[in-house]
Amino acid sequence: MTIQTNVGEIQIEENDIVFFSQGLPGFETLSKFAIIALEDTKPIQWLVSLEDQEVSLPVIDPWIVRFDYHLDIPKNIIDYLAITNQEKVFILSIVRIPGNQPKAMTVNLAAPIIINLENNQALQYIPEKSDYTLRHLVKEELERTKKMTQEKNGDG
Amino acid sequence: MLILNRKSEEEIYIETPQGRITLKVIGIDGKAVKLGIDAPKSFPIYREELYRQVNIENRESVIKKDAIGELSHLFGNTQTKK
Repeated sequence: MTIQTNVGEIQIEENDIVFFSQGLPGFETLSKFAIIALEDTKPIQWLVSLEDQEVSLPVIDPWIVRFDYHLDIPKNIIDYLAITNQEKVFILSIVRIPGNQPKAMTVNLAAPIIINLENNQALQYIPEKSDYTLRHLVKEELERTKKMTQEKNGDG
Repeated sequence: MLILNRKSEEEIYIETPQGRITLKVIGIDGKAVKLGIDAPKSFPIYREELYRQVNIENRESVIKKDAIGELSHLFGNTQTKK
């Protein structure tokens, strides 16, 4: 099917649809989304609503911005998403791009989106406690990751 | 909104198709009420202010129409090379 979104006209297959049965915080009435990769905005991908064409959110693999990112998925979330195979779990972090200032871009590492690829059920996991915050400056995270991976490789 | 008076140690049952949610007043200390919650184990439970922060964050993340043109090559050349 073809859908209109704020990131353009997009082709979606039935298998691409992920279901947020409780909706996303802020968009509780929307449950059907798809994750779209656009060549121009790599490595940012887009979480687009199939039910409201105004709702498209930038998302990113959290390990790209923080190479040592860690996430423990608690038992209640594993049960909620009916996860049976940890390797079939896909994690994305929502990115916030303040108007006209892509350099001020932040990433929400505290409350990631968790998708069970076996049944395409998803939710945004809001942990009671996290080592991360809702707003990490992407620029700083990339510098940190670069520095730490260089040290690891013995550069300098 | 349904309003019920409860004393310390008293409970409320909320029956759902997926099972019972039990709210128990564990104790009251000044303005702070300590609640115990028993729910089917797959029920996510949130403190409202935490959920609200994420809600605000998500709504601020929504991309405006035609804004995507400004977002090309956000990461420069360093991250996109494979």
